[in-house]
Amino acid sequence: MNKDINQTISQFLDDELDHAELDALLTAIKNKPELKQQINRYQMMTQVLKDDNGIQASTDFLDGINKQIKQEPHYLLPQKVVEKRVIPLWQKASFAVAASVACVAVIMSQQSDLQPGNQFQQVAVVDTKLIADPAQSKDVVQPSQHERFKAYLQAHNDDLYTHGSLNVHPLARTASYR
Amino acid sequence: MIYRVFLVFLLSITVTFVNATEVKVQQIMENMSQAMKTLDYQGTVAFFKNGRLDTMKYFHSCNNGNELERLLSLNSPMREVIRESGKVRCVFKKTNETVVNDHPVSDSFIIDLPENFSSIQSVYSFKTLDEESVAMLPAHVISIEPKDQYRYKRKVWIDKVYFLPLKSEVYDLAGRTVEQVVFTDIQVTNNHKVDKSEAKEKDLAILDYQAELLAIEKAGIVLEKYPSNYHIVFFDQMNRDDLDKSVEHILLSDGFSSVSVYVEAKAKDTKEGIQVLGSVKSITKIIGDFQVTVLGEVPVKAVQFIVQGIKLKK
Repeated sequence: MNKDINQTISQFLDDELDHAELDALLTAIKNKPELKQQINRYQMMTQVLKDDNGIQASTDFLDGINKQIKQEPHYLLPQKVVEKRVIPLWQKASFAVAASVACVAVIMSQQSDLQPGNQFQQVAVVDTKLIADPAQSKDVVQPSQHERFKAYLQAHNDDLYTHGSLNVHPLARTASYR
Repeated sequence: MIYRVFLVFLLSITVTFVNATEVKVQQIMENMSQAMKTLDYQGTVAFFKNGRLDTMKYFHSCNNGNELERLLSLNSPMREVIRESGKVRCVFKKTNETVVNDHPVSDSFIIDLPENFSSIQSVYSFKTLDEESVAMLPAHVISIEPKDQYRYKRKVWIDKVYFLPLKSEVYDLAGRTVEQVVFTDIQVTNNHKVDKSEAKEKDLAILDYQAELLAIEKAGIVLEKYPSNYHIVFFDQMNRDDLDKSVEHILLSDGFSSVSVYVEAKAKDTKEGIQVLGSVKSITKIIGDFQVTVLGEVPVKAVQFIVQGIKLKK
């Protein structure tokens, strides 16, 4: 059901619904008002992805917000008095000592790393099996669905030639129906 | 009685007029198809698609029946595209990379046309509109309207003298322009000469999208149904570096619109569903251990209809 409605909304936004399908969608919206919000969200995402522009709020929108803020009731609550905390001198001195010790420790560790004969630290785990068997590594590093889609598009049309690149944004809209 | 005779007479005139118009449109389209293949011409073309505009120099020549098309970009990324002997070669000048496509889907960079215009009239209706000018040349305007929901409407502007296509537009089901190709200037040269590519083969890093053409019987799937007047153009086995395994590719076309069907072993991240990228609609479905993707510049209904009819061979 969920997959169908997502797909129908996607088609609705592309104006690809016939009268019967449009009627069914309108009935569904009537029975389930949250669908309207879903359509608005899809529409907004589509616009942003297609235009590459942000959505400009109208001046009415800003005025409306200002009006609503003005209409909000004012609460005169007693404010909590924040006491200004005075840090004693001995505490300040101990912070300074701690900072200096940390600084020295960092410099010393950097110098020891530069000394020859030191072993490299392990920064990444390499699966030696994958290096030994490239066929296996090929199975692990699969192209993503987006990359496959790009390759399919390249094989299908002349965009690569006429536009220099495929101009593939992350998929504009995907209605998944699993 | 007189009224009846008059009515029959009127009807016969109308039918004759409609037939004459259809014949005229068909003749114009056939003339265009012929002119595109046989004339030598060059000009500047603007390609507009998915919100992107690119302008290129275009050259076409025909020497002893051998066609050569060449596109030269005017803006970055600088590139040169050559279609010769059924292959397309695109050279990116900055990187010296060359992409070779042994089996391009289209026969022309400008417009795809069916081989037989009379058979396509069962799915498209052709109408002549008022004459317009493109690149300061008077043009016939032909509207090509689909009779079902499996293809897009298009319009083509055809030069009245040489019958070359000056402009073409594709519209989605809501009537929005999704694709536009327009000549901003065009000259017919008839000197059978197209300047040879400046790129030297030995300097280029060639990226050959290898594909082996096979008989459709060797495909792992059966297409049980596809929209009327679509036919299988070819079936090939793609072996590309950017796809980790070999992919079966079936190309369907009705002459104007084309749809590709890709079949490969199911990947871990595959999600089923519809993907939309401007005018390109695609649908992915998992069938057994395989994933099938149907993709084309057609309405969603067309890719849905085709994917529903795909079955694995036993």
